[in-house]
Amino acid sequence: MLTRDFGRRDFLRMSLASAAGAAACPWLPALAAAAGKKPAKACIVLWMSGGPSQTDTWDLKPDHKNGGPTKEIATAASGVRFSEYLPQLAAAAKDLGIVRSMTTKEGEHGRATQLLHTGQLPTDAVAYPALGSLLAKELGDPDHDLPSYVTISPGGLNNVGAGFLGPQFAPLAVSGISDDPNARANLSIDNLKPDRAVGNDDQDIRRKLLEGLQTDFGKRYGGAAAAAHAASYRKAQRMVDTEARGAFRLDEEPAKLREAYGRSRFGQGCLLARRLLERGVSFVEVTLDGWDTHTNNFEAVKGLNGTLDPAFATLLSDLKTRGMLANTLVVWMGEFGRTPIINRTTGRDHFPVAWSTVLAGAGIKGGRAVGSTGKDGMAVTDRPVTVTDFLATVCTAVGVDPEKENHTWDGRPISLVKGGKPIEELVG
Amino acid sequence: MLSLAILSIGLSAGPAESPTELAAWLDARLETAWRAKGEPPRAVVSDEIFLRRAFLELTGTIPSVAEARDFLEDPSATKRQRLIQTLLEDKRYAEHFGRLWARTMAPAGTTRGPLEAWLRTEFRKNTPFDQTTKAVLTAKGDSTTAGPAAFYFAVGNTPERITEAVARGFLGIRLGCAQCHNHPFTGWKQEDFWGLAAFFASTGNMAGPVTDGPARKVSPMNSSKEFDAKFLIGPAPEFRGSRSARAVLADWLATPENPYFAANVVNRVWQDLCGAGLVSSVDDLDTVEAAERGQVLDGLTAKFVASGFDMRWLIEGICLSKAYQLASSGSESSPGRRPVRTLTPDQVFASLDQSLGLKKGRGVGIRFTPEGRSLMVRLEEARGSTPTDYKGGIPQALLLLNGNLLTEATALDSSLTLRAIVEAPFLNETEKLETLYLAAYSRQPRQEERERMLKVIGAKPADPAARRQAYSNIFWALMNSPEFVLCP
Repeated sequence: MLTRDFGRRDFLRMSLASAAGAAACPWLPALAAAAGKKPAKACIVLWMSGGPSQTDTWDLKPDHKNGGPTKEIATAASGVRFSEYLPQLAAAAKDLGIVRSMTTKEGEHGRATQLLHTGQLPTDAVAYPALGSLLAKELGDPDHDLPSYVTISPGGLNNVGAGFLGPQFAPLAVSGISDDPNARANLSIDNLKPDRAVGNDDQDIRRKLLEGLQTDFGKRYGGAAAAAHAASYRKAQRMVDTEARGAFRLDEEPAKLREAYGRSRFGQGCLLARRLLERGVSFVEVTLDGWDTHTNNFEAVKGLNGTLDPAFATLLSDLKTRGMLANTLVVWMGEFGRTPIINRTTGRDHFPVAWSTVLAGAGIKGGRAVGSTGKDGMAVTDRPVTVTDFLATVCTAVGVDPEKENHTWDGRPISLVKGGKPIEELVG
Repeated sequence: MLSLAILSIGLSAGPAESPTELAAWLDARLETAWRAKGEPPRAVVSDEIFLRRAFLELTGTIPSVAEARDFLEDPSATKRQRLIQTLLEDKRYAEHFGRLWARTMAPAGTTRGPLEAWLRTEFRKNTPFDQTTKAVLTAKGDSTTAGPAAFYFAVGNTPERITEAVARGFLGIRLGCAQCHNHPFTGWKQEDFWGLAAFFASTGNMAGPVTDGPARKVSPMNSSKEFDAKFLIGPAPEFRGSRSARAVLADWLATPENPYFAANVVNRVWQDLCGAGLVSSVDDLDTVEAAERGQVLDGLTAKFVASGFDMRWLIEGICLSKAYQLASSGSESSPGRRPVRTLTPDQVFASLDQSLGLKKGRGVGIRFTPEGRSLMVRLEEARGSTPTDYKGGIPQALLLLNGNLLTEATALDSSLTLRAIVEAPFLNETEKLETLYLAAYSRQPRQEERERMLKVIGAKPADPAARRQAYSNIFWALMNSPEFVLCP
C-alpha cells in the first residue's frame, strides 16, 4: 500500500519525532522512578464489539430528543450519572473514570476495531500489533506456563493479532465454542489431554518425532508461518503439561460468585479473566458482542447492559477483595460509539465523532467523567480525546512508556503509541 | 488515485497469446523487476513441491498416493505442463475456484452456498469473467438457489452491503468507511459510496427475490439527504430508455476501460495462486501507486483483457511460468515472489480427508460429522487475512494434537488408510514408510528422514505391536507437522 519511498520518509519523520517526544514527555521521569520496584501490572479489556451506544450507557441526554426513552440515575460519584440499566456500576462509580469525549476517525467495524486495538488504521506496510500483544510483551513473562495474552470469545471481527511482534505475543483465543455443553458453560479449552488410548511412551515418541519435523521444516524453509506454527504447538504442549490449565476450572469458584458475575458467557468470561490474571497472564480481553444496534437500539442496549452491569461491577469488587485492583487496569471500550440521533428503525448508527470509554483500577482516579459532548451529543464540546491519547493513557496506567519502540523485522522502530497525551485527570 | 490517467489499458489488437507465450512474457518481465532490486531469480523447485503447489492451488487439496506416485515417477520433460492442464480439467478446479471467488465476493457472509454453486458452473464453463461479473451486477430473481442473484443473498441485500462488496470484490477498493464519513486518506467521499449504492436502490431485500426498478437515488439511514447514482470515476452515467441502472453500472464496471476491474481480478488470481498479490494489497488497489502497478500488474492486466477475460488462460499462463515454479522466499517482497503460504481452512480439511480417509457423516459429507464440524470451526476462526498468515492458535493445535478426529484417523484399529498400509503384505518396511510420506507429504522421505524413521520402527525388534504402533506415531506426527499445513 505504501511505497518504499513513502516508508522511508515516514521512518525519518518518526525518528525525529521520537527524539523530540522523549524530551517533551513529562511522564517519563515518573515511570523511570517507578522502575525496579514495580509490582506486576495487568490489564483486562472489556471489548464491546459492534460499537456501544454512549448515549444509553455513560453519557445520557435526558433533556434532548436524542436521549430516547432511557432514564438517568445518580451514581456514587457526585455529578456523574449513568443509565438506569447500570445500577451496580452506578454504585461502583467511585472506581470508574469515564471518558465522554472520545473522538476518532473511523466508522467501519473492521477498520475501527483495528484502530482501537493498535492506534493505527490497517495498512499493509506494517502489521501493527494489538494493544494486548504490546502489553503482553512489556508486562508478561515469556517463560510462563500460560500465554501472556488471552482473548475470550473474540468473534469474527476482533481478531487483531500480534502483527510484527510475532506469534509469541499472539492471543490465545478461548472461543467457548464446543459441542460439549458443559465445556461451553465453563469456557474451558477443548482437547487438553491426549486420548487415553495413546500410552505415555507413545506420547513421548510422538512429541519427539513432531519436534524433529518442525525443526527440519523451519531450517529448510523458514518464514513467519513456520515460526507461528511452531510457537502455537509449543504453547499448546505447555498448556497440556502444566497445572496452569486449572485456570479454566470455573466450577472451583463459589456458586454465589459465579451467579454474581452472571451466568452469561461474558460474565463467566470476566471471572475467567480474573483467574487467568491470578495465574500470571498479563492481558485478557473479554468480548461482549451485539452492540451494532442499527435497529431496535433501546431494547437491545437494555439487554446488553443487563449482561454488562453485573459482570463489570462484580469484576471490580472481586479484584478489589483480592487486592488486585490496584495493579489491574480494567478498560471498557468498543470500536466507536453510536449516533445520538435515533434513526427510522429506532436504532442508532456508527458514530466515531463523539463517544465514551471507561477506565478503572491501576491507580485510575475514579468517580469522575472527563470531557463532554454538549446537549445533543453530536460533538465533543470539551476536552477531545483521540485514540492515541486514550491508548497512551492505558499504557501509562500500567506503567509502560507509550513512546517505547519495538522494531519491525526490517529494523524500523515503531512506538507502542505515537504522540498520544495521557489523560492527566485520570492518570496524572 | 482517482485519475483515469494512471493506466491506459488498450485492447491490443492481434491474435491472442497462448498460455505458454504469456508465461514467457511474465518470466521476462518479473526477472527484470527482480534484477532491478538486486534479487536474482531463485531456483526452480523440485517435482515434489511443484506437485503439492499445483494440486493445492488448482484443486484445493493434496494429491492421493497414486496421483503423487504417477507424477513423481513420470520421466517426461513436459509432465509439469501436462499436470496443470489435467488439473484445470478436473472438476475440483471449478469447485476450488468457485469457493475462492464466492469468498472474495462475499467475505463475511455465511450464506455463500448458492453463490458458490453458481460460480462453480461458471468456472467449469470458463465463462469470460466480465460476463460473470455483469451477470452478478444485473441479476434478478430467486437469490437462494444457484444463480447470479445468489450474490445478493450472500452479501445481504441492502444497498450498503452490496456497495461494499462490489467495490472490494470487483474493484479492489475498500469503500466501506466512506459510508459514514469522507475517507480521510484515500479521498473517497460519502457521495462516492452512496453514489454507487444508488445503483442498487431497487434490488429488494433479503426476504424476497432480487428485483429491478426505476429508482436511482438512495438516502442513508437517519439522513434526509438523497444521493444520485454516480460512478466512482469517469463521466456521469447516462440512463437511456428502459436500460436498468444496474445494467448501466455493469457497462461501466466490467469493461476494459475501467482501470480497477481487470487489474483487481488479475491481482486476486495471482494471490490465490502464488500467496501474495502482484501489488501488495489486494483490497486497496486504489492506493497503489502507478510505478508499483506498472512493474508487472498493468501489463498482465492488458493481456488478460485482450484474452477476453479468460480465467483459465490466465491461470494456466501463470502456472506455466517459471515464476510460479520458483522456490519461495521468507523475506523478499518484490512483485511475483512466492512466500511460504498457509493452507486455507478448506485446503486443510480437504487434505486431511485425502490423507486420512476421514469418516463420512451420515448421508452428507465429512464436514458434517460432529468432529468434522468442530474442526472446521477451529480452522475457520484461525483464517488469516493473507495467505501467509498462520493464525492457528493453541485450541486448534490442541484439537489436532489430542482431538478424536486425528487420534482415530491415525490409530491402527480405526484408520483404514493406516491399516491398509501397515498390513499390506507386499510392502516392506521402507515401502510402508514411503507410502505414509506420500499420503501425508506427497513426496518420498529424504535419506536422513528414512534412516531416522526406520530407527523408530525398529526400536523394539521383539515387539510386533510396538512396531505397528510406530507407524501410527509417525503418521500422527506427519499430520501435525508444519509441512502438512504450510506450502513452501
